[in-house]
Amino acid sequence: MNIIVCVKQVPDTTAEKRLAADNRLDRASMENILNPFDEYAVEEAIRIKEAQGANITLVCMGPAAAESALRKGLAMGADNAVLVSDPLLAGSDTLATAYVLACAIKRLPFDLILTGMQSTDARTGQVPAAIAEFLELPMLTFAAKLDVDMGKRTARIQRQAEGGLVVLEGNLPALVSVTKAINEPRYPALRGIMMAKKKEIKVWNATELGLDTSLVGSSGAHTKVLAVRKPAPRAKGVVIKEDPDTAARKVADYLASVKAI
Amino acid sequence: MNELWVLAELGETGPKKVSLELMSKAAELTGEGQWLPAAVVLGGDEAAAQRMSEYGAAKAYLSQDDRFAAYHATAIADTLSALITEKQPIAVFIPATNMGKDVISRVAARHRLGMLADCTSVAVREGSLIATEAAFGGSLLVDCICVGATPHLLSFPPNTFPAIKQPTGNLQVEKVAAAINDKVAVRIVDRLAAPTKTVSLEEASIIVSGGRGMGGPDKFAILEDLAQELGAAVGASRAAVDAGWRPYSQQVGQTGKTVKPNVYIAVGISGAIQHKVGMQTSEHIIAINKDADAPIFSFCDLGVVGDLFEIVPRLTAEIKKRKGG
Amino acid sequence: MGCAVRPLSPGSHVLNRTTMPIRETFWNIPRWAEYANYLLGLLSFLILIYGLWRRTRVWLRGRPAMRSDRVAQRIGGMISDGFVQLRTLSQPLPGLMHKGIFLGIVFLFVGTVLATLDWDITRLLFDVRFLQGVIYVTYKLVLDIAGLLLLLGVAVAAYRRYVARPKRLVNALSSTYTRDDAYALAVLATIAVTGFMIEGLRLAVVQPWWAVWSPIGNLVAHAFVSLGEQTNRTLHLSIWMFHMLIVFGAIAAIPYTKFVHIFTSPVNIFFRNLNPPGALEPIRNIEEAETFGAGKIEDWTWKRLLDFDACTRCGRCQDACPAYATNKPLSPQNIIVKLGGYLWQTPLATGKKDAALRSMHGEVITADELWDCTTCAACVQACPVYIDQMGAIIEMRRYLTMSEGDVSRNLNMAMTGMEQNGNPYGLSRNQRADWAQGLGVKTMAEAGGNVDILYWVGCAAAYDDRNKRVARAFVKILQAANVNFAILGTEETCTGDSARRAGNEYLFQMLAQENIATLNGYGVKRIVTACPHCFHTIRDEYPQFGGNYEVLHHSQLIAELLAQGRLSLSKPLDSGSVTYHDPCYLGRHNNVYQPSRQIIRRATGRAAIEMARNHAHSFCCGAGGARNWMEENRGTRINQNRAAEAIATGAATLAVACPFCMGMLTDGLKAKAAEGQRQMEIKDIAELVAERL
Repeated sequence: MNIIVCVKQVPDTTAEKRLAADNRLDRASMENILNPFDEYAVEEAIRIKEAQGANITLVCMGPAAAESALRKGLAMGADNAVLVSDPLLAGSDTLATAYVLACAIKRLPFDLILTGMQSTDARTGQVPAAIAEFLELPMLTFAAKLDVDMGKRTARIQRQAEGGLVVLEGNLPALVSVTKAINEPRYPALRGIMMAKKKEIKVWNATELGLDTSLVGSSGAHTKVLAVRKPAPRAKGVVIKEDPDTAARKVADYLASVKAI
Repeated sequence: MNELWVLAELGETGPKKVSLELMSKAAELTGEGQWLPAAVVLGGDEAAAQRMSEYGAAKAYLSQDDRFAAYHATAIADTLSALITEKQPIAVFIPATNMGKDVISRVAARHRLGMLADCTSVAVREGSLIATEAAFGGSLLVDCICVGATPHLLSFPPNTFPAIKQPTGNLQVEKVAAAINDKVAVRIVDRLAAPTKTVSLEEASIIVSGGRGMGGPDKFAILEDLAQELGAAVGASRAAVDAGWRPYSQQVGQTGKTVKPNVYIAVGISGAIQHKVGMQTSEHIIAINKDADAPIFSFCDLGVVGDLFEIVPRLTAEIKKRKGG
Repeated sequence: MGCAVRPLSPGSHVLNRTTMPIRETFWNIPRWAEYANYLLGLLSFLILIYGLWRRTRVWLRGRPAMRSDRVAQRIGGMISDGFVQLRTLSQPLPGLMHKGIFLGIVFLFVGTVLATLDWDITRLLFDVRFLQGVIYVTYKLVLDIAGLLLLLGVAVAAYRRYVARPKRLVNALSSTYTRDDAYALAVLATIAVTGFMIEGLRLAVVQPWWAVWSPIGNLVAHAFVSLGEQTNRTLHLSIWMFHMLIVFGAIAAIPYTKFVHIFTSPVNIFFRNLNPPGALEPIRNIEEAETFGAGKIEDWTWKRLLDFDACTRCGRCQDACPAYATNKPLSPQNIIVKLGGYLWQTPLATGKKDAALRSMHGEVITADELWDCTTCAACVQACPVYIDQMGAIIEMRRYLTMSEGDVSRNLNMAMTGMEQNGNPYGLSRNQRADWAQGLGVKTMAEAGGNVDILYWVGCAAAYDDRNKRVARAFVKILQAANVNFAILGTEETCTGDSARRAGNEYLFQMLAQENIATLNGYGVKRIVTACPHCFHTIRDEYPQFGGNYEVLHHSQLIAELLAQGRLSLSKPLDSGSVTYHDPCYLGRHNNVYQPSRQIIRRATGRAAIEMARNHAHSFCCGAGGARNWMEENRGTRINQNRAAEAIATGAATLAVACPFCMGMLTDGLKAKAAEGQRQMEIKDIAELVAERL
């Protein structure tokens, strides 16, 4: 079985974020890590590999520094890694990203594509479905449990729905995005880290992929950022000390003010 | 006239609250009459369409096909996509739920449309829709517009807008056929009932959490009552889980779950760092604790120093009163 | 000068007072039995040596370890603990019991050696017999007392093992061990009893006038005398032969029984670890290492293998272990005993592959046992033969963490936090100095490195709200005393203590090297820290990587400032009595006990109340060994156990000197208060002083 896992390198959410002059993310100014949600996807791929055998290829679009995210996935147990990197791709929105990833994936054999359900930076969760659309694949998203049957060529997931779980099934090849409920990612053993350092990461640029450059980068964007602002810092909260009735009322007022009730 | 659509997400008894919220907002934005607010109701019935009109839909596209129940979001995406090709609305509002996310991306990819996701607000400026997205876990706010072909796709999470009744009177219903592409169809195979009727911590928009101050497992009942009224999930601090009062699956904190609800109510929780790192990015934090020096008071939005056993039941009663009225 | 005195001929058994007391070696023993005695003696010693050699050969198959330094100190320890047995004596009754057996056997053995010398060497070669006259009767008396000590020791041991049955002697890991224990006592008892019987039977027949100098033998003789000479002679010969067989059999069997500790104990004590117990061995050239830690039996060094064999199953480590005390699977004794038993089943010992061989991880030792350890070093301190149980546990953790990546989710998060953000909480590096805002504290960068001492803040004080208050209190003290200090601020990163204790040596070395580069870059010489874990790591372990500094714990510095009169405390408030919890990494690991107590006395006007388990016997709070980041879901809570002990002192306040203890015991006290127990305050010793400034 061939599994592709799409991964992204994202800034560490606990660090300070900074934007460059053109309102794009100043990625150089912070710690970068493998998107935590993608770790779950990589882990799931490895579990499938351990259970039924598979070849796992990681695919990532990003600057050269995104290599470190790929190394982490390799250290966990993936077999190969591909980085799509090109200055033309900077500023790509989610559709462009999905397009690029889909073009890269088309050059590789696959039965299953796994992704995290979203990234911790953009948190749009749009890329998985868009990839599925570009590749014309069934998509099984927000999976809390995944079963792949190579005999019947189906993938079946459980996902959380109101009142319980819903079980969905699609034919392979398919794209599956996973939630944090699906597994616990392993801590890469030092041996894995050392071996990952030695693995070759293929790097493809826009020309090699034959991309239509009008569809990628800032020029291919379908959205435009008008302004960026920091939200007001969490204003120092109000601490009150009242009799219980008044206190209850004030809390209810607050809840109403933030639309909780 | 150009139309502004709202894709309705349907539940057991009709459109879900989020659909009504988006419809209200769409109706508000089209108040000047420049666009026609319409609802897209796929897999529902006439009653569902009528419900959408109570919240501002002037028109409804209705498809009553049974297959929507058997197939998952792809059926909705395919049908919506076909409708878009035919009708060319200027924008579509979609709920930012799991189903909505699937639909918006496939449709955007198919037609190469701009999409703005998980927006926290939207306004009309010079004839364009401007939406605000929260980036990087909420630490930055980005004002954006869509460029390029219409419709522009925007998604909003539940609880972004109020649901306001504004019946339009005459609802124009247009029946449409379902368009389902078998190649990418995803079949619904089964539904498993949850063991207990609880809201999951990660997806809850309100969480009520109890800590050491609760004093015992039975005392959590008052939090469960409050959670019931709020439609909230119940969480617990490490202290309460360590003491065996609540299961580990409900633990919020560094060694438990990380949550980011709209409202986090910390009851009898001191706010030590282990807990803080699990909930500090909540939109709004309310703390109730009898210790005025508790660290939680330094990072909450509303802190109440007092006896939780007196305050919480009164709060539950107050909320009940306001909801009923 | 002696003259050869022929052995008494059979029949002449009346000796008058003019006869010189002399040893009647081989009285009543026919020649053939005499030769058999020598032959069997020789054989048994050969078997003994062979058995010891076989064991040694297996140990030597372990990996190399350097233990040939500080020989004088090693010999000193061997004497004080191997022969004087100070640690064994730390518990009086068992200590005296063992002393009795030890002295009994040693003297009896030496006595036999002297007898052999006297009869077979000096007599044959020089015609000299020194065992006569006064020397001889003294010799007889001493040996009788020795025999008595032996019997008494065995009796006390048997009483403890089979009647009193204290917990640590009732750990039956396997019936092999129970039989071995019984064998040991039975053999010793048999030797002592038959020895006295032989002596008594001889005295009953010969009735020398100096028999009174063998008081016990003499007593025994009175019991036999009535049986008549013929019977007594027959009995004497039979029991003598029986005694000989038992003794030589026991000697030959030494390497295969509990008695092997006669050799392994002093040897293990000689080769013991002379560094602080928590200063773990670094893995050098870790990037090139093929394996990490102990994954299989072949990964241990020879010293560790010797450790496994040196255990006498006394169980004192188990008694001291906080995990065992709270009903967790871990028992340090069982770790060592199981590994010792396992060693002999492996190819290392047998030389052949066994398909049915259990795996060391999972089957012999479970992960639960390994993760239960808080690295408090109580086990290491308790062991009379200086086994390093804690070190073995960490070696196995290294395998789990670095070779397998098999760690729990919470530990995973803590390690990821240390790796990505420089602290186990996973919070932003940029916020590391926020606690100090508005206090007028300089950073090293601002001070250009020109300070007297660096205040190493540590992750807990930087990020945990409760501990930030301790840091502020300490700063208040430093400023009140006009100490010229600075902090590293955001240049400080985690010392890596939790990483190393969790077995993640790689992550630890990365963090250590980063910190050492920063510290050396500023030319730091003197460091003070309020965290015993940082204290231990920087003081005892950073030298392994080129970081050599004078490191103080804040209790030491504050005590020093108080003694120098640089702090003026206003009248102590009457806030009640204070009890003190000795942190493991300050006390047991580094022998610092007094400064905190001095501080308490100066700050409160009265001496600290001691908990039952205090100073070197302090009971861990439960957070060490990276356990602060793990869930405690087996057994009962260590922190609550300790909190209950604090409450029992009746003191109003519990004083701590460690951020982990602060967190754990705060929770522990709250849990007890929720159960209805008395509320206690908990403060750091710095806060006790700062409140008086």
